[in-house]
Amino acid sequence: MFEIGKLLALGLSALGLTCASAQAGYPERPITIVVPYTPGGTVDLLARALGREMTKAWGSQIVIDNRPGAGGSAGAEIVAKAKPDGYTLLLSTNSPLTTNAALYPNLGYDPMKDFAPIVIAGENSMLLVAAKSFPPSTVAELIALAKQKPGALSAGTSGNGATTHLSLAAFNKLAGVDIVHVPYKGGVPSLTGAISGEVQVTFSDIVPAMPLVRDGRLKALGSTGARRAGVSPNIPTLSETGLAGFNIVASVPFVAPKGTPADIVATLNKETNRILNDPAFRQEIISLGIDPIGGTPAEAVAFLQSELPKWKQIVLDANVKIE
Amino acid sequence: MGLLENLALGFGEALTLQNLFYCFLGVTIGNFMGVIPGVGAVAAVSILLPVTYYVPPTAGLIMLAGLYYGAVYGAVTGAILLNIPHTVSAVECLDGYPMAQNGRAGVALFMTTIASLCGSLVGVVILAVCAPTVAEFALTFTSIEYFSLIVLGMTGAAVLARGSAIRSFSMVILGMIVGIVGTDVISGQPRFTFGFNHLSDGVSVGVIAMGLFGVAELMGSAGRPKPVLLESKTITWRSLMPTAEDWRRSWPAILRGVGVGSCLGLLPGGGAVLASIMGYTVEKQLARDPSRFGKGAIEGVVAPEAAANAACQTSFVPTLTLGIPTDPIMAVMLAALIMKGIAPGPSLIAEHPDIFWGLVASFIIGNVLLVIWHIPFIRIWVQLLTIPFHLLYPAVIVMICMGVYSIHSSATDVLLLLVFGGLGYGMRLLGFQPAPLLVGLVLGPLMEEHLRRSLIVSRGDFIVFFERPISVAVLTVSFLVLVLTFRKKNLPS
Amino acid sequence: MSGASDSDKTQTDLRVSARSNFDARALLGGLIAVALGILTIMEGRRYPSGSLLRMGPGYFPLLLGSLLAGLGAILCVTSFFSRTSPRLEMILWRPVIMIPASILCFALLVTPFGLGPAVFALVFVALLSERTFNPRAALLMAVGMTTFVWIVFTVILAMPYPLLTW
Repeated sequence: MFEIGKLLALGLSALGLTCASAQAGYPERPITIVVPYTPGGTVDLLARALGREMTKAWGSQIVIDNRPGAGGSAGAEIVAKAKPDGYTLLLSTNSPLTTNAALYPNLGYDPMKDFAPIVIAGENSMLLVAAKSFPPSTVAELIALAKQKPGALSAGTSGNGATTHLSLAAFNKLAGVDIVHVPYKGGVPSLTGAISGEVQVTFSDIVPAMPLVRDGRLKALGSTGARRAGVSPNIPTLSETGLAGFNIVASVPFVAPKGTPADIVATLNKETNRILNDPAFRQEIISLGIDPIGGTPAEAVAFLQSELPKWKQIVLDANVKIE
Repeated sequence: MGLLENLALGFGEALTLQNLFYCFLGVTIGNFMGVIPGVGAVAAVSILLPVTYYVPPTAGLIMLAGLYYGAVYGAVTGAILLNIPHTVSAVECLDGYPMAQNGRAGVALFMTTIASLCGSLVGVVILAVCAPTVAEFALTFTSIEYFSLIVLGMTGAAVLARGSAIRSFSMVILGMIVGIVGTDVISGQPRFTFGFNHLSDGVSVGVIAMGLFGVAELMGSAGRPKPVLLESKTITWRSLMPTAEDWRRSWPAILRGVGVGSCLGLLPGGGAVLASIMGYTVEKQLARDPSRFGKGAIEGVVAPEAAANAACQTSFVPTLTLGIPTDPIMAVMLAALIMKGIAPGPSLIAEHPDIFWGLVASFIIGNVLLVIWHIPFIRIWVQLLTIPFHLLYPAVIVMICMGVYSIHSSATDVLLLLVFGGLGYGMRLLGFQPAPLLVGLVLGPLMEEHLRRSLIVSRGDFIVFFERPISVAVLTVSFLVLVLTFRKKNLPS
Repeated sequence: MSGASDSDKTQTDLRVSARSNFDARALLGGLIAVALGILTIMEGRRYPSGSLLRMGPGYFPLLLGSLLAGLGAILCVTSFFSRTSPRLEMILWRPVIMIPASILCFALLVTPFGLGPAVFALVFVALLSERTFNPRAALLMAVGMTTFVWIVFTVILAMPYPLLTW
């Protein structure tokens, strides 16, 4: 009888028919991973790579569903309100789960209470770059120049409230300088701004900046993490070269809606950790600019709980308000 | 290495059985998706991106590129035969559809095929010959230059409009207001979202274009005893052939379109859409009798098509040599490259000559394939006109709805489609043109963004717009175009 | 003015006359533009506007709203001195109601019930636009389109939309 039911379910799913009430061995139908950004971004590419490996292991299709909007919160809200059956998951940067709670007054979900974290898939540092012709070539020299000419320097970022912007705000605060924020529509235009000299420096994701650094159009002043990024081991951190204690990285949490059965979360955690430990896969995502982390669901919960107040404080310091 | 040597290397790469297959697959599916209303180039490229994970980098890139120019090529068919615009082909509707209404769809399709082939081939030559140097120049542009160029684009929109200047200016402003919906780039503030998270990325141009043109047109023409599409007679082989007059009018227009498109494709943020609009604007400006435009002037069909296709090819220059995409489609291509561990940038040509020159060669092959697809089979496309309208319009609505739904998997987008369909129908009843609205929608947010960024960088000083030579030149040209247009429009009346 | 040469019967017929006329379409269009302009200004006032040199997020909305309202006012005034005497196109109520209704059916059905019911309902309702509605032909067409959509979008393109769900 069970076999017949399974066959029937297989036949139905082959026809494109799905029935949400079916429950048996997980996963028995396609899993949707919501990526709250447009296709082609770092997280989207990570999700697709992860989905590919999961499909290989499980034979079940992994569907990547791009739901951009509200700095990632539009997609996060969909997952927060989805049926907690393990078939709708969220892979995003930490923004919808941390900074957006401080940026937007009406998020539509509670970043702490509405999700069951599976694992922190990885983290990504950013890079502080400047045009080749810009005189300072270390952070110390940049800070000295910014102090000598207060308010004269400009820094490009990928947008107001983006992690790059919050890095600049944290930089201004820690270094005690006043570099004017110039937001762009995304990371690549902000790099163009640095090349054309419209802004003197830019905070950017590492991967899009690397080719420009390699060709000498831009020079890297340092990466934003406490450790050097896997994708650019030759570039020192800002904290190494003149701004001790600076550490801003974005993380990539993988979460399910709250109420998802613990065994399903455990299955997903185990599988994701297995994939993250595969050397070829590690190399693949490091080249996307993501340093793999992994760990248990409990570690993921603890990490996110510690991140929330930290990011809230940065948002407050940056004085970004979105009504 | 000389150019010929490089091209030989490229053809050696592109003519392998595998790469040839992916090139064929790309242009065919792209062409098909371009013809289907509501799918379009961005969707076609995004949907097939996962396929590239399983093929070698050159083959994957050749296929995605084929999808792109194939879809741009195919979109014009929908514009001419059904008056259904994609973003790239919006201006093709202005004169292409009237040509179809006058029973000259075959000529329009034939000439656009020639125009796109010319545009593409010249674009490829520019891509191959001056990729490094020209891109170097575009890199010095700041928001000040972008703002000036957008002002020029807006001026073009005012010139492009048919009928009363006040009416079309109102439509441009209304488009700019619709463009406000979404997150303000400078402040990060969601505006005009009325509390819907869904609106925080704005309303996609595709939804608005489908509503204003597609749905509104169907509301006006479905159920009519003599539907528009039935009036065109079946076209014979002879009537496909352009007359000597068509050739005489077309070839200078194609050349101008190629020139405009090649230049705009090189600009980051320019791309095929602006190229087709500017291609049309230039023709209308240079015409001895601008009143022919909007009623089936062949120059208004071939020039934007040549411009869009030239821009398609030349926009690979900043994308590949600088790693800076010109539009969302190019951003998806870059993602595919990075996924394969290939860093786009000035070193790409030196480090991966097989990929770059293979791609260049595949463009030539792909465009020839498209001509082979179109000219012998042109009658299949024209046959679309003979399908009874009551069989066609439900299919068109299904395609529009599926296209809109698949942008964000969102039923709310389909409801927005309904809103813009109603708006478009109302505008149609009251005699307002939807085309200027789209121009305002596309250029308005960019104009605001670059103006405000320029002012942040200059710390609130307007003088900067008159200090940089390119900005001064472009603003002067815009001003002259505006003055000349007003003189021209005022003289006859 | 050669605008009247449009052979299309559904297009508006514009007749040129020597004396000035009242153009109801321009007046209505102008009034709507004024209303939309005012609505834009009202919504725009919710955001900080800043100054000309330091524009806030509310600056452009206020500027554009005022421009639209101003242009609308000009349209209203000039509508009394029009040189053309336009005639409204005849409105066929069936398609004007049924086409939007068909899209509404799709929007409401596609997420809860899947592509099949949505496309089926869309085609069926859209065909109600025809004065000579043939239920059997409509049924055939609806089944045909549903199959086509399933093959193209679910099978070939493998989009993540089920044909039927509940």
